[in-house]
Amino acid sequence: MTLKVSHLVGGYSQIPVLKDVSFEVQPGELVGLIGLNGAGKSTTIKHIIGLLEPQKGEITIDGVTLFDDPEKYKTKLAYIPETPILYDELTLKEHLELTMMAYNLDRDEAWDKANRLLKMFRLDKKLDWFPANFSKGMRQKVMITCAFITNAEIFIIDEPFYGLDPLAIRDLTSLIDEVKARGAAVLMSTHVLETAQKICDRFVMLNHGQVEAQGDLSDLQDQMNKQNADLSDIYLEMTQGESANE
Amino acid sequence: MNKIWNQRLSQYQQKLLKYLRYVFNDHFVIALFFVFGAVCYGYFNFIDHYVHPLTLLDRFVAIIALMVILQIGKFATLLQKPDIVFLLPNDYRINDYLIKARHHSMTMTALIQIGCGLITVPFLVRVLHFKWLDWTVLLISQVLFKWMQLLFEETGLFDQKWNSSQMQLLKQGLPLIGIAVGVLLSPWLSLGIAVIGWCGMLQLRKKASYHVFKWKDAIAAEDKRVMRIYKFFSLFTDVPEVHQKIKRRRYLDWLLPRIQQDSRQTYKYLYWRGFWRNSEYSGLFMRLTIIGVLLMLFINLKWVSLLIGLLFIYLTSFQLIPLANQFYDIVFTHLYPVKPSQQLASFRKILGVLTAVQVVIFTGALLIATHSLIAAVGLVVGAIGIELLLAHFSLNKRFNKGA
Repeated sequence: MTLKVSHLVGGYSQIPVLKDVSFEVQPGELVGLIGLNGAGKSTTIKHIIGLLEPQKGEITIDGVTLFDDPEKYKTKLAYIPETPILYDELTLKEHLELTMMAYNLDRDEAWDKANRLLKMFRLDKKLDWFPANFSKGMRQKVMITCAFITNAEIFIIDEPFYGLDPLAIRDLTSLIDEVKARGAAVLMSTHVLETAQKICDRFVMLNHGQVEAQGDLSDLQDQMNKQNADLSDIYLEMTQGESANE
Repeated sequence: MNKIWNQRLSQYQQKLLKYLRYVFNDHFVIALFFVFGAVCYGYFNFIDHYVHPLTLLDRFVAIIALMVILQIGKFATLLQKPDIVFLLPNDYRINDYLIKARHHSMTMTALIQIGCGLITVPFLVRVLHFKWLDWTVLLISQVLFKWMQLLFEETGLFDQKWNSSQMQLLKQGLPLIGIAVGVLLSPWLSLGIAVIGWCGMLQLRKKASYHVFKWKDAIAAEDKRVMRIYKFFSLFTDVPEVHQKIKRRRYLDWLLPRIQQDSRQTYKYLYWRGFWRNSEYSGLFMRLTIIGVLLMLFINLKWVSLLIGLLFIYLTSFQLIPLANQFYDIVFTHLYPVKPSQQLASFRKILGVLTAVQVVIFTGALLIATHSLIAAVGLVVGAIGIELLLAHFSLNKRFNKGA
């Protein structure tokens, strides 16, 4: 499954935040969406998951846009937001059941997946609790569980590294590897460049609503003419060079 | 400190005024008009037909009513959480502040006690054969008892001994004795007890100033008092200070739909849980249903009862409509591959079921109260009409706004 963002112009109001953003996420690939606060990462994600409507350009999942066939588009998409907001009125178990209903999942299969994830995140004893009262990290684990029990083929993960403990970060990384292995495409936004460098296959560098550079680490190193630079060097160079030009 | 008090008071009054405006919105004023008229009618009707000879039970009812009224109103300090840091340096001048607060509380509670006390007057006069001087004296002592209780609370802010259960017993016991004596023997005796109680407390309050002012307790007590008021407002309108209460209510699980292999049922699953566990919605439904039934039984007039029934059905449905957009802020609601039209359909069904339950209950009450089949049929037909209108106008509009 391929996620394709082409010539996306958009934002919250008439003044666009994103100016002609284009990139692709191929099956079996983890792409890091990198940018400072306000660079347009979250706006891009909001467009992809369908909370905002593009002013120009289009977003397709395997050739289908949200407006062609919303059900098909949404079935293929799983999203883990940065701020974990859950239903106040539902228990953990009911969150999972609701996800199963909404995505029309086979219940036995989904519960098999869920039980494994709940154990992994040590949530298996809390099925009857209201997750709205959990700590931020735990709520994020609930969202990860809900996302990974679906059969989605595109995963959108917004800044996953704040609030999760190191063990959970490792588990999330291995979950991402698993879905990549079955051909899913994963897009992850983050500021944590060190971790991003370790786990992402490619990077899309956003700055002021534009794609500054994209490619794998060696592509980026070539572009900056710095052969041994790491991701944060490249990124800082890029943003500073830009402010020097101004 | 005087300046601070004046500032606080105007802030507080503005806030109350704001919420009062919300409470008495158009719909509610119409409803209130009806209900008030109906209750007055029912009350006077009840008293007019009260032919029993005077019994001890009647006196007992009067005492209980006055004691219940006496519980309304607390000592208002208008202190806020940050005061413990910012006003602490002015600690030695807290008495000036409290005197202002006391005068304010005395005025407010006197008005409330007299206002509510007047409700009992027709009963006192018709049933207990009180003369006007008698009930006036009784109401004056009622006010003095309240003032005494305020002093109890104020003293407790300095000396925690006053918050003990023995003191609470005294705080309630003395007025109880006073009111009982007033109703059973003579209101003048009640007045005597009230004056002694109040003057005694004034003396004891002066002594208490030697203790340190207990900021934490005072702020907690004030918070509790304000919350009580906000909770009352939140029955009618959205008060941000009061958070929605979500309760698990395991005993209601049998009412909730189970998981189904059908994505069209997704929102049915969600809405029913939202309804029962969020007190805002289930509480509203229960409250309005119970009040409606009581009014219909109490008023017992065919057409008025019918109108009240329809009015309450309309009010309930109308105020349940925000449940449709309850989950709007949660991103998943937008991500699920479920059509918005299915969400709307689920909500309609739920509203329909709830209204049907209410109609059945109301029809039962109407039949018991009036034995009128026509009125019952009118209620059912009217309810269907109301639902169709709401579904057509309000619901579609609201939902499109949200989606």
